[in-house]
Amino acid sequence: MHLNLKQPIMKTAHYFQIQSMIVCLATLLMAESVLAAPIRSNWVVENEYIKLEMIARTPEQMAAFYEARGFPKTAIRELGQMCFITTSLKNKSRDVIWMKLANWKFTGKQGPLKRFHRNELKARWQQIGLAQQYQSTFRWTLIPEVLDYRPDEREGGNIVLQRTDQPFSLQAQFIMGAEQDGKRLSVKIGDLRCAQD
Amino acid sequence: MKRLTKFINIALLVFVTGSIWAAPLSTPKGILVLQPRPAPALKLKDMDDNVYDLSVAQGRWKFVHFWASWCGPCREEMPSIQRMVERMQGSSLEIVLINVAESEDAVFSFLAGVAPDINSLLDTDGLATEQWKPRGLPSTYLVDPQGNIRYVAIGGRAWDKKDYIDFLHALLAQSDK
Repeated sequence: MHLNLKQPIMKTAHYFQIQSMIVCLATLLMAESVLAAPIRSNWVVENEYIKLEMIARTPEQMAAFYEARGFPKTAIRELGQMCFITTSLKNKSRDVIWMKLANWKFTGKQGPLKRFHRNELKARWQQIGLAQQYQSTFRWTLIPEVLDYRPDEREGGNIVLQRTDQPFSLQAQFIMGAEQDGKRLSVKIGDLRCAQD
Repeated sequence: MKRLTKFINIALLVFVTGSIWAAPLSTPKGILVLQPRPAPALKLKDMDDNVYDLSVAQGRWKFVHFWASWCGPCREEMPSIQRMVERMQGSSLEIVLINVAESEDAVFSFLAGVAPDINSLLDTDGLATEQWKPRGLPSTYLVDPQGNIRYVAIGGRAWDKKDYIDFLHALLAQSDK
């Protein structure tokens, strides 16, 4: 059998040329896709005890939701200045897990990010004279301030933050046990963002 | 001695039977047993503008369900409530639905599509719902014939499934004894 040693060597040189072209092209494509990548708007953290899901809502999404339920323009304008994150928490354990929003810390580069307590929002609605029915609907779309999640329970709602265009993180703590005497759980989500229109 | 043994046997029988009747039923998934507490008053208009007062159903088990058409789990659950209503027809269970702070149009157009045979009370300002303090929406309470809240369902449930229908029938049977 005759072996042609020349051809493989030439083929290899050609191969390297093509390979370097592919690498360049891939690098360009990757750089472009990174630049064009949409900003992330949903996050999930899951462990053996809980599953926490967060979805940032755009001002347009929130306006559409509340407008469809008859909210007046004054309220819609207020809502547009806030950052809404729809949050769902599921207790995967066999024990009660206490969720207290007071133990959730949102932090940006500048320090703590303000979260609006439902009572602050209620006061604001009363200030602008929002009808009781809309105040009620709004309250029910918020996640409770405190809730003892039972095994397999999943509850959720919106968290309302001060609007920012900077990334921020969440450090959330939970306590297990009906009497709040059990294991402390802590989860962290980084690079959260308010959704933009 | 014979008399004493007979007396003890009867006493034991009464005790055992009594504790079986008083024992809480085993609950299907997502139904929590609560410490009995009086159900708040509930007096609201329904979709036909008739006033309904929960106290008229005193002496019967009541299924009290809070919902809103914008709530995803409520929308998923409602068809199963419609089927449960059909399956519980002829029973003494009082089924009461309360819409939370929506317009009559919103309630009517939603129910017409998914549960046309169901009438709902309209808590137009949401204040009656506040009295009941549900954990979230949807929420279902089971109120005993004496007017005490005894069970709460966590989130949406497939009410037309056997486990739940059997449980509701068992509640009714327990109160019939």
